Amino acid sequence: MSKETLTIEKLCVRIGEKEILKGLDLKVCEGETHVIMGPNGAGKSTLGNTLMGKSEYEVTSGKITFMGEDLLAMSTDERARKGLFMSFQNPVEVPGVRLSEFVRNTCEAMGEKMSLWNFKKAAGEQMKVLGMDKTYLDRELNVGFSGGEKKKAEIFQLLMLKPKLAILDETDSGLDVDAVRTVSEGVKAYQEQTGGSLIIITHSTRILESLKVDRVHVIADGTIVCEGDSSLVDEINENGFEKYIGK
Amino acid sequence: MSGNLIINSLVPPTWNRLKVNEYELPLPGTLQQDTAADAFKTAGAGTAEGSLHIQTGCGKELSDALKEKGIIPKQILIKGPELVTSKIDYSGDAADVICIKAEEGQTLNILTDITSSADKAAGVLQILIEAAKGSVVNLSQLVRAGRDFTFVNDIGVVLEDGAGFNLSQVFAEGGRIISGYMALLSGEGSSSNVHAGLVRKASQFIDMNYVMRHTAPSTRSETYVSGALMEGGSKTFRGTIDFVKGCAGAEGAENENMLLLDDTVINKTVPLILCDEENVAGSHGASIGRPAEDMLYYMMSRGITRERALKILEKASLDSAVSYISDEKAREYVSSAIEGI
Amino acid sequence: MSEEKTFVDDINRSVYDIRDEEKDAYRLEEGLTEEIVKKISEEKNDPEWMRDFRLECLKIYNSLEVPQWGPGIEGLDMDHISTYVRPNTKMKNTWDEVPEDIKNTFERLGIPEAERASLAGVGAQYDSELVYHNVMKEVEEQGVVYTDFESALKGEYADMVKEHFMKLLVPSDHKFNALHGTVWSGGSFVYVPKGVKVSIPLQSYFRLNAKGAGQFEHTLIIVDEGADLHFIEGCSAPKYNVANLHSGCVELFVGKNARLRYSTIENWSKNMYNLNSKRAIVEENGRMEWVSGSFGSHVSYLYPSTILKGDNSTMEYTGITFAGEGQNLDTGMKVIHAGKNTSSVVNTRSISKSGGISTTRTSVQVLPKAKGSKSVVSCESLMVDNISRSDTIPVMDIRCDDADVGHEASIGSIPDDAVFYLMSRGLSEADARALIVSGFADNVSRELPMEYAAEMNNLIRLEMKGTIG
Repeated sequence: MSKETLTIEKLCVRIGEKEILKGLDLKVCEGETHVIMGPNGAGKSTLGNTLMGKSEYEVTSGKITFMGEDLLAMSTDERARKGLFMSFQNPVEVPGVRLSEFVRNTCEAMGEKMSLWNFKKAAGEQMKVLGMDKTYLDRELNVGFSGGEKKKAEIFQLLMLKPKLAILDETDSGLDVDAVRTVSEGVKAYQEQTGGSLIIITHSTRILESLKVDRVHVIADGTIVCEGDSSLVDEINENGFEKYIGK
Repeated sequence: MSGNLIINSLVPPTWNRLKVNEYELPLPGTLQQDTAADAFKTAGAGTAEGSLHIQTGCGKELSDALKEKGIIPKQILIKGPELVTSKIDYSGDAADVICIKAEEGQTLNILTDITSSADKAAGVLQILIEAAKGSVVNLSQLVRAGRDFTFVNDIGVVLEDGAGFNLSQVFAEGGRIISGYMALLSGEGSSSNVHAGLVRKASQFIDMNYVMRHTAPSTRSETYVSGALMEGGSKTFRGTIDFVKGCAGAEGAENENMLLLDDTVINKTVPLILCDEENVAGSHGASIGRPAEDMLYYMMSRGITRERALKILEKASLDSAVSYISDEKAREYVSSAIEGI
Repeated sequence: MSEEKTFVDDINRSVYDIRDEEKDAYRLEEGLTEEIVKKISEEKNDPEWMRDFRLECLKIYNSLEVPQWGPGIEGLDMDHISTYVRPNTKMKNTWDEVPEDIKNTFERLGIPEAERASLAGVGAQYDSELVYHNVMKEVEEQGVVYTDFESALKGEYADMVKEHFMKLLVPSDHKFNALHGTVWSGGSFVYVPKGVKVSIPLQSYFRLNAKGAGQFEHTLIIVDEGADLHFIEGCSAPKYNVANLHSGCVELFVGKNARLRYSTIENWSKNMYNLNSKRAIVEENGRMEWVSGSFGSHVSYLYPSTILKGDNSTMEYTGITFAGEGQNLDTGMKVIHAGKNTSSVVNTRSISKSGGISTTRTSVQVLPKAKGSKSVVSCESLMVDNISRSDTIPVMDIRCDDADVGHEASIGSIPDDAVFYLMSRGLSEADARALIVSGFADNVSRELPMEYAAEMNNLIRLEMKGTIG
């Protein structure tokens, strides 16, 4: 059996008074791709933000081990430096900070000092994968980006940072067919270049078409109610979530 | 009464107790002149005698005082769009009145870089610009003088039909900065674009008075201020969009984004919209406070520490003004000058 | 479609303009001297401290300058203002006892009717004194005190009144506060005891009938811990060709966990100088709500201010100002965030028409200790024609990093496409414009009790009528 990248045990999370995750278990091994599906409000995005350490998400019980260490003891930036990455569903706009400057800073934070020239070269290569124009580098981070541009910029950062585990939170939502294909190409490139693991949170299946999926989990009401191999994706595609809800 | 000048006056004024109606400037007794004019000469521009009568943001009291102190206006002759970089270093109390005329259809690119080799001194730089029909003047200003230096930066621009004035200001260093700007949009379809970025810390302050006076139809003004305050830094920004009767179809927008990084700072924002004409559109928006938690979370999720993220945002306040410098050489110059900040 | 029947209801501005004859009224001579002040004090049977207070205020008044920053008030000559005019009646608590002509005036203004329909108590002031005061029995039984100010000075709550009177609006703040302190007369005192929630509003109505006179009523409201009150203030006057002056003071104390809503529809005649001061102080977790409609007067200075003293206290201000021909209305608000986690939400609209001048003047201050405070200010102005004027003069003074302050202001004209759209549905241009303007005032009409909202919309349509000739 391969090495465990992430282990979640009996995780309970609440926001304010509201309990969202109610004893969730999940295990992701090196190089694996997991898909998390579920109806709206099931707790999918809560899982992503809890892993990343957003302050409103209060872990009331349970344990998360990432790369053999206690993830919950780390601040958000420490988690990122340990090799965790999340592609945001709605990346915030940061006026005045250029994409190039930001990504250079993140690469530096990861311990990878690059000269400006080397950075531009590496960035250019990854942008080619995503069909992004180099002028993006000079634009302010996410400011005025369309939905598709924001998602591409997220995947661009994924390729630059080369994390051990990437969480893609609804990266395909709101994108047209071409944009989904581009993002999907980028994710494939990440798998090939780094051999890293993936957790793909989605409620559509288009992004999964060209990816090899190891395991599919269905979340409903804060726990995993069903698991299976990639065939589960097709099943849900056909029959929806009804049979998993309210049990 | 002291001999202080009352400048940067708010017109019309508001409640006195808020102390935003004006700035009181103690002007040194003797002022050396030609520091700035010589810097323009060194940059390759021609100079000549000649003055312009243009209202400025600091106002009449300053103009009168300069005249009284015998400061002779110098006209700067610039032929084409090639960037003129004027490096002005103050070695003592000094004042200049610089006049620039852009001829019809001409494009001028000017950069002033303010430094000081003398501390505890004051420099006054008044720039008067006449932009003829269809001309474009791009003025970029970088201020990085010493912590004990007082810099008075006073601009007045008159715009004829279709003329455009683009001002990018980067207030990175300098103890006390008093900045005035007045654009008289008297030509149909003329425009004023201002982007100012500022960082004030260690008890530095800046007092700004920017007036965009629309007197002709279909004129446009946009004014953006972004800044970061910390460690006792303070800022007053007065921005007045003045729609005078006859400016039908004019549009004016003002926007301010201020980051306050601790509770020793003072941030005053006074964004006036005066309107004497029906068919105009004026707007103002301000956002003042600490950086949004969502933004910090996003940056930290990419491995950047909180402290580093704040630093990046601080510098971004300057960068957002830099990115609007249209001349590439000027942009590179300013960008690399503030790299280490 | 005829104009009269569509959006301009069949109401007549003349109800505000009917003047009563000043028969048998007691009127002090014009001007302001120590002698006159002593006479007022004597007339009103002041306690000694109040007499001394008035004389002290007169000194302050004489030492202060008129403000240099607002609309001109040269037309106001204090030497020709009668500061005290007493109607020829004592205060009554049934309308039947109020003299016929005065009663008729209030009938025309709809006050007794509104009292029967929707108010828990009413005070009606005519010139310098209250002529009517009545409170619902149920409300009285809850322990709520609602009385004319003179009775309050002498009654059971005399100490409480003395303790609070002009402590929030101190005479030295500005010249007109000092004037008020010198010659104030009439007004109301309200005390809502701990935990008492008054479910229907109380109202005071101020009518200035006398020509060339001043009205200086004082309103003091104390809402104790956990209590709740809605207070409505209305004002009007007939038009004269000499200056009248209104310089009231409103002091509001909102206790811990308490809430006070203060609504005003001001419709003074267009010879009125309305130099009014209103201030509220809010304790922990308390809430102050202002709803303000300014339609009348020749010149107004009106900026209700709020001190958010207690942690978690909140303020909401909703206002509309309509400046028509011959009017210079300088209105707005002030707020000081002093406590932690305080919040203010401000929404003002102004309309300028037929040469009217409207100025929206605001200030938001956030003190260093007001951690976690939020302020959102939105000012919108509408220019109905090109002979009017509209200015927006906001100040934000922020000294706390942990604050979130947002400000938005915009100015514009009635959009042509909106007029076109309404006309395409059969409205005349005048009706379409009137409808759009009253829609613009929707922020305030939504906050007012129904009858008041209807009255306000009538006022707007009345003002708009005849713009398109």
